[in-house]
Amino acid sequence: MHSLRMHYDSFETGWIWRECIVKRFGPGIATLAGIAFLVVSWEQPAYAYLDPGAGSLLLQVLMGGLAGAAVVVKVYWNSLMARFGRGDDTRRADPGESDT
Amino acid sequence: MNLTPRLESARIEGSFRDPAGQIFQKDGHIYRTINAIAVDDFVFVQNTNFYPKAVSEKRLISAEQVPPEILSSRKAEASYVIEHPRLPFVSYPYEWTFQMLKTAALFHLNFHLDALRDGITLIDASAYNVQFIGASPIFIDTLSLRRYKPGSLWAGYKQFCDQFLNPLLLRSYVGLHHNAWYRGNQEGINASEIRKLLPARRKLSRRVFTHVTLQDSLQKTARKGSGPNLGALQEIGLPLATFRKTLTDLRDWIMGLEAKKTERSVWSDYAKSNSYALQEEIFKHDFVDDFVRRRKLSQVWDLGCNSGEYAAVALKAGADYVVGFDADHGALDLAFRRAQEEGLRFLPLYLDIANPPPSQGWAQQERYGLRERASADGLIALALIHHISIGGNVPLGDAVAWLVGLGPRGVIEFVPKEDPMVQELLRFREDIFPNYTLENFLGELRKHASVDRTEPSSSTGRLLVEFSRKPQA
Repeated sequence: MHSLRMHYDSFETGWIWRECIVKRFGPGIATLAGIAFLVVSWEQPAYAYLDPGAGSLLLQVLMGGLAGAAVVVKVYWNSLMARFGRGDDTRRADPGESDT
Repeated sequence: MNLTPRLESARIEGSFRDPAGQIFQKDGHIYRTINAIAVDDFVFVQNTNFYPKAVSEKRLISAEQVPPEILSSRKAEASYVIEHPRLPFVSYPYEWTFQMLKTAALFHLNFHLDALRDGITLIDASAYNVQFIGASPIFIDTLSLRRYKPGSLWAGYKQFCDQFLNPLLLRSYVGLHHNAWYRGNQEGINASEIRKLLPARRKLSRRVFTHVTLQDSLQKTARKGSGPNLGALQEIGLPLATFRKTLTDLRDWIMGLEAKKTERSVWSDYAKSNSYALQEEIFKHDFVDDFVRRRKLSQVWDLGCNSGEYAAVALKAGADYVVGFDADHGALDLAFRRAQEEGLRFLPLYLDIANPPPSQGWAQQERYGLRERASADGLIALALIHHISIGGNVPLGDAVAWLVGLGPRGVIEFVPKEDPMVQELLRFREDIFPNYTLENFLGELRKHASVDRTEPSSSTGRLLVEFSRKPQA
């Protein structure tokens, strides 16, 4: 996780640095994708007004490198926590979104 | 882009969504406004090597700058106005075959990859921005081209999947044609929908998992818990190398997709199995050739075009462009291949003649119906009328009126009830068509048109009839 931390700090140095990370940690992304695969089977249908591009944008940052992968894992984690009634899921209170 | 008179000099409604500029039609000319927000990118793109090369290779529609005053003051916010050449005929992805959609998808990806080399990206991936001139795809939305900012995300990724990839998967992996669904939902087929349909074994593939399963899952999960917003994701971004790899991976995938056989094609081997004698066929060729030559037709519509045999005849006789329509995908595949291989200005399209595409989309003016796009100087409808009248239960008078409404002149081949092809249609049906006679056909035709020439075209009693529509009241 140390390298993740470094990576987050490296926004200023731009995406070339991030590409180096991808080269070094490429297999790690595959593992994270595997984690995502496990979470896929837990998901519930969404009924809210969706941002039409949310999923494809998240997928792209996942492809893009570790920083993106971390964001994606967090998205799944939050969703899981929300299911058990925990986490910082403020959207649930939004009357515009229905829930199962 | 031939529109009904009431739409002349109006904004073309399909273009309203883009704040960067819109398309207008005036006196038969096509203009595009470039608004202030898009000017920097527009100028940048014009000055790249890619732009003039793409135009000269006919991959991108050409554009000429014209004085903005050409358009009325209503469009005063436009910084530039450019004029595009008219396309011979505008078609939509729900009128394309699998092969055509695949051709358009590969064209789009290659176009984007080449553009990226010169620092240009496409801000969307609408299939409607690809048009066909004959069998050659051309990109028509100049304003989709924008300056690429290093690390930026592919904004059109979801749209590409919805409008190209998923409809192709529907045919290739599920075995269903995309046309009816696409016409119903003009934005294509989304990841959630195609995911429900794909067979389990297909879901084991890395590509399906990434572009369908994971994309859909992320879409659904993204809004359930708290998470990043657009700004945060843009900051993380997508490295150019990964962007390019995604495009090439999709290209390699789509290149390998083949149309799954759906049903036996009745017409793809029509030329071999039908009841024509060779002599009769030659005679029919001559009749069509004479019609096109004598009337000096520019655009011809061939209704029931089969594999495009008569389209080729019309082009040889001097027609500039032929749009062919057929309901049989097997025949259309042959027709499209013919157009590709022989480089013909012939565009074959899918059409269920008893249910032509309507005007639809926002305010029912976003995509035009077949009739609203009627641009033929002449039409050919050989051995078609029995399919409409007997196959489709459309009264003979209505069928004739509809055909005559599509073009100022044409050739209709009447196929009598005694003909083996009609007998085949009636084989498992009660004959409820007492009015389907040559006499009634000619009577109905004369209500709308003058009959200029008739010739028998077969020993089974078929008749070729050339007509000219009467001036409308």
